[in-house]
Amino acid sequence: MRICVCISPAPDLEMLAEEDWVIEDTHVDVSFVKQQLNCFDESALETALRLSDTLETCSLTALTIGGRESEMFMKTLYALGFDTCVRIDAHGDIRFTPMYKAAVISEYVRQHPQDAVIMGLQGSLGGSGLTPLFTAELLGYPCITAASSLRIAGENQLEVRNSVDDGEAVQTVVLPCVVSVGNAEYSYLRVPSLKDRMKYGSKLTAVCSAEELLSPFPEEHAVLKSMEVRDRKRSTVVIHEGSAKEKARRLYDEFLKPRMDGP
Amino acid sequence: MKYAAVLDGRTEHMHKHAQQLQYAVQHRSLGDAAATVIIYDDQVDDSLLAECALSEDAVLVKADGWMSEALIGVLQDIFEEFSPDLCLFPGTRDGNEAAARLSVRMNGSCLTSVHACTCADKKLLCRKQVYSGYLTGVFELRQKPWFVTVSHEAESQALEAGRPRRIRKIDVSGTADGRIVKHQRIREEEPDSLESAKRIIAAGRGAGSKEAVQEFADQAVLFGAEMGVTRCAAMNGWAPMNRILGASGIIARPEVCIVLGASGSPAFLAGIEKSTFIASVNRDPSAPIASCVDAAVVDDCIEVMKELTAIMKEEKHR
Repeated sequence: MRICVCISPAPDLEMLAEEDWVIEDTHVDVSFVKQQLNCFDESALETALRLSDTLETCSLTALTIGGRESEMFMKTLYALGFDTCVRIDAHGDIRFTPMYKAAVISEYVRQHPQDAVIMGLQGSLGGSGLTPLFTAELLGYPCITAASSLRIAGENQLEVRNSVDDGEAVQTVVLPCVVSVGNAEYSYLRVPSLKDRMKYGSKLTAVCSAEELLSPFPEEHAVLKSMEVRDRKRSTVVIHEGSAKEKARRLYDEFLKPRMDGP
Repeated sequence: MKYAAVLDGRTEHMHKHAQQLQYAVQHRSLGDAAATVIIYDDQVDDSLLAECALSEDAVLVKADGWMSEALIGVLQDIFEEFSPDLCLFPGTRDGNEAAARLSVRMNGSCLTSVHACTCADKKLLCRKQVYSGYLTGVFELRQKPWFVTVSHEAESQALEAGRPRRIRKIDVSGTADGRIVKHQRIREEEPDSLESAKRIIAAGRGAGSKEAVQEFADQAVLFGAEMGVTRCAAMNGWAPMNRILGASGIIARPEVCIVLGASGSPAFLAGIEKSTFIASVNRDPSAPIASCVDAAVVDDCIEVMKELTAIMKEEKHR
């Protein structure tokens, strides 16, 4: 089975202080913040690895679109057993470009056929969840979103458990398909052994330019025009004096008691 | 400008979705509804239809439990017939899938999880959260038809719709898909317990262990509260994934919310910010949560919760 996992490393926004959120035009400077994989990308990688663990033969590819900074994750993925790690070199602002990313991924998949294309449910910056759906549509594949686990269901079929609006669904999909991983059963990416890190750490990420892969680029029809910081502040009363017991008593007497009447 | 609304009667939230779609358009005086499409899987309730239909024309589509090829094909046919400028969907998994796929097939624009839309100079501007909820972005949708899904965090507006005058039925259930060969939907036993709770106790990474979160859940019963967690706590295996509060989890609107050991990431705050009253307990006075609540206790959350529980027991015995 051929599995391609698409990841999108992004800045760790929780590291930014309040004063760092300065918007210039439609940009915020996050260049000084370390990159990380968001929870859905980690879950997608671990879910793919768990699926591959159950298979006798499996080729695992990791693909990312962006600059050099994403290559640090590829070293870890080689050490975890990925056969091929590819970075599609893209310049310019690709933050809110799901159609561009989908077009690049689908072209890569056309040139390097896969049975399952697996991604995280949504990225950290755009959060639209559109890239897997657009990719599926461009390839003419079915797409299962918000998957929690995957298993082979028979020849050329995958059983996907996923969350839906008011519960869960279990569906059997004919391969090839696109799957986006949401609240996964195993959500943390496993850690490679030191031995494997040493063994595979020097393996190079394959790099190709987006222009080589795809020309012309598709037009993005939803374009960011402006941004503003969301203000969620309330007039807070801070309770910091006294013992835990005294603080609990004040919280209860002043705030909770009047609101706790009734069942 | 004309819009079409698609509602999903296969979920228990159709009425709420209709209210959110109405807010997203009518609150901003965006135009008239050309058609309401209601997808259902068994029977459609006439009174619910009368209440939720946002237009005089309603098309009822009987379909299987997923966004099948046949269902997407029918939606495309309906949109081509009514030619709406804007096609609105609830921000559900199926709503997002249909909007995305149809925007590609009909060469339109697509944006998901939108809070509100405005139309100016024949352009559609939509507001939605970006940067994991730290920022709000305004997007221009350039190519018609515009496919928009409305965020489950969006405000809602009381429905004004009357019984639709023209109702048409289409049945695509049981149509072989060829790609999804088996589908089984498993409904949650109590899907709304956290979403509709009057009181919530929410635990974050600062709880420190599964045992502490379990203790909070036991204590929550005394408060008449439901237990929720941050995504981080759920990923650590301290609580089930269906207890996650936040932008990618449940959006709750309780009267009282007590947040224990959570730093207050915007993604989590999105799930509790509609609470009438919020208290937090966190050792770190500079944690972002401290400025987003009504009362912030600076201390260890386990100790304070133990004391609060003792007070609650005392009060109950009075």
